[in-house]
Formats: sequence, structure tokens, C-alpha cells
Amino acid sequence: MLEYNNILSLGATLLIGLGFGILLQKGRFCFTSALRDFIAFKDTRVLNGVIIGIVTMMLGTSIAYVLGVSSSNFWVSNYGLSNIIGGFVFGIGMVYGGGCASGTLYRAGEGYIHYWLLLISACVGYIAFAALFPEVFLPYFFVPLQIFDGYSVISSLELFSPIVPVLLISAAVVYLRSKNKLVINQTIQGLKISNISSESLKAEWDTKLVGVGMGVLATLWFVVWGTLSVTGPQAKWTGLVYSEIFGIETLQNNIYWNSVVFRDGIFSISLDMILFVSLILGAFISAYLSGDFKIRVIKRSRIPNAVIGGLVMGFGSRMAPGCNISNTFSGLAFLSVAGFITSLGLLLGVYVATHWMFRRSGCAV
Amino acid sequence: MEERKVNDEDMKEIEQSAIIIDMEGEVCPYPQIIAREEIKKIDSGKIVVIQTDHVMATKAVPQSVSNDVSEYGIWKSGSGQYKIILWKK
Repeated sequence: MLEYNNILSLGATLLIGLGFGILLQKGRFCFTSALRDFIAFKDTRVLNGVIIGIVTMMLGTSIAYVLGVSSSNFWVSNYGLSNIIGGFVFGIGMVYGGGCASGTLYRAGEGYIHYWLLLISACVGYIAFAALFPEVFLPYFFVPLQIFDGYSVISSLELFSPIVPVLLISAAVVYLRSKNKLVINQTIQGLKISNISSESLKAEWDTKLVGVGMGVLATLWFVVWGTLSVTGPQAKWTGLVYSEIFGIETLQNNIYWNSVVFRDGIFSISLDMILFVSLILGAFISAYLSGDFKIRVIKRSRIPNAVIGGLVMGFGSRMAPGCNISNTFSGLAFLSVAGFITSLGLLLGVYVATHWMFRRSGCAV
Repeated sequence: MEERKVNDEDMKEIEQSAIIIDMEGEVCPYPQIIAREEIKKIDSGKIVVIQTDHVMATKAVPQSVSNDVSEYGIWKSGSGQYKIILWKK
């Protein structure tokens, strides 16, 4: 049972997913690394790419919105203290586990058993969370804490929304120029056809260029489907596999599955789930062609990192709700309040966990 | 911190005098943690080689020791194995 408007949107989904996988793999685009390595060593290379990606997505989606994409394509979560707690839990899990939602996916495609285990543990976390949702998380967590209606600056500015990214980009250009740090020429030089060789394609790609590519693909995905998310479709896959084993009633009888994960109560494969799988495939193809693919067996001593990290990420992403992609990437691009609060919680979690993991060698920030 | 190109022959020569640490099977942030600890232990001018199969380490390890290292190199096997060479300042 596959739901799609036409073969065109299915094809677009596959291509966008492959593109995401290739870009994530080639850019080593890892949110955990972006935040953790800034805290530990003041390394800003990945972080810069992430910020450029967010601003590109903001520009792209606001233009698409003006051109007629429906406001329902914005995923803007309600918010409250719940976001900061969920983000915090997710941040702890991703540093301990060694990867964010998107990082886990592309590295699963690179052949890491560690990240497959992390992925499966997160799915187990979703099932446990869904079982606890009606009696525990709904009455004692979401009802008292998630009290404000979602708000996104970009979606509420409507026709004027592109003004915000244009102002942000102009301000950044003026600032970087005054500091002589604007290196656009150098970056564009790297894109010249004569500079592209099979060797440079196989090597790591510039994180800033990858950030721009991520923003462009996220915009295309916004047009085709809606907001880019990773743990949302991951939870849907979990639900479908779970129902194959234990029967569809398990989903129908649980309010979390039937009204939160599968919002319309239709339990079938949707385009975002196709994107999820094609992203892993894209990362595999990219890794294979670059000589980076290898079945990497997990060290026995690291199994707790993958299992506990995955479970913690699973719970965190359901509590926030959302992962680093739907909150820190899409959420900040939409200037959504929930995105900011969850990202703040995530940053705090990463900060605490990084300081704990680097307790012997010390952190820079 | 500059990147130095390293071919197979350079690698053989480097390995004769370097301290070699096997980090195969480890993911972030463990290669960075070990690299930082090892580079602090050795004398100026010495070389540390981190053997790893973690793709991200080729980027994250040099950056994690950028204050203590004058040059770094990345050797790729072509089948998912890497050697990260760090020259201490």
C-alpha cells in the first residue's frame, strides 16, 4: 500500500533522498560533531556548514511559500518546557551514542554495525515510549508542559517571509566582509569544472557547499512533501514493522500510534518513509564509490553506547518532539519557537555529555 | 596546522618511527579523546599514527589536536581504512 499523487512525486522523493544521503556522506555532515567538536576543541568547520544549510533552507522555503506552497507544509510543533527536556535527553543520547538522527542514518549506509544497532535501539525506544504514552507521558509530561501553540516567524509572515533570510544573509555578508573572512571566491573556485577530478570527488567535500546543497534539497522536499524530518518517518517504519509482528490492532488501540505518529490514522507507506530509505541508499552509493564503505564491526565495549544511546535518543526525540533535523535544521530555518527551545535543550544536553566524555582531556568551551 | 600529502611509500617510512595506535572499530568521540591524550604524552617532533576505520575521524582527529600539531596527513586504503598521521609541534 503506497500512497502518492503520481509517479513524479515518487521519483522526486527518491532523487531527493539519494541526494541527501550523498551530501551527508561527502560532507561528513554530522550535527553531533558540529556541536560537540565546537565545545571540545572550538572546531567550527561542520558548524558553519550547518548554519549555511539552515539559512539556505530558510531562503528557499520562504520563496517557495510565497510562490504558493501550502502553509500546511510547515511542521510547527506546539511548545513549552517539554521541548527543552526532550532536546536535553536527545542531546545526551546523541553524544553518548556517537551520532544524531541524520548522522546515524548516513553512517548506517557506510556500513557501521554500530549505527544499525543505534537505529534499532531508537526504534525500540519508540515502541516503549508509545506504550507509556497514554498513562505516563500524555498526562504527566505533555499536558502540563507543552502549553503554547506553535509559532513560526516564516510561516506567519506569509508574503513578507523572504525578507528575513535576505536580511540575515546581507548582515552576514557585511559582517564577514568587515572581518575579511568572506571566502566565497575560494569556495566557488573549488566548484570549477577544471578543478573537479575523480580524486576530489572521492575526497571529503567542502562542508559549506554541502550546507548549501542540503538547504536546496530541503526546499525541494518542502515543495514535494513538507518539513524535512528523520525520526518522524523512522517512527512510522517502526510502527509498520511492529504491526506486522503483533497485528495492526496494536497501532489502532494506542493513541500515540494512531493519532501522533500516523496522524491521519492511515497505516501505510508514505513518501517521507521512502525518503528515509533512499537517504541510507544514497549514503551507501556515495561511500562505496568513494572507497569509504566497509562493514565495520562494533567493538564489544561500545555496545552500551549504541544500545543505551539509541534508547535515550528514541525517548528524547518523542518527548521534544522531533530530532536535530526537524528542530535544529527545519525548525531554525522556519524560525519556529519549538525549534529554538528544542535546539537549546539539545545544546545543553550535548554540553553536559561532552564535558563528561572529555573529562580527562578537557574541553575548550 | 597544514595537511601533508602522504603516499604508500611515505606511509611505510613514517610507520617505522611513529607511535601507532589502533582505533579500529571505535567511533566518535573516542579517536579524538585518545589522539589528544597520546599527543600530550610525546616529545616535540615525534609522530603519532591513528589507525581507524571511522570516516569522520579523518576530519575530527586532526582538528581535535590542531594546537599541538604542526602537520597532519590522511592515508586512505580505498576500502574504508585510514591512517591519520600527526606531527607534534
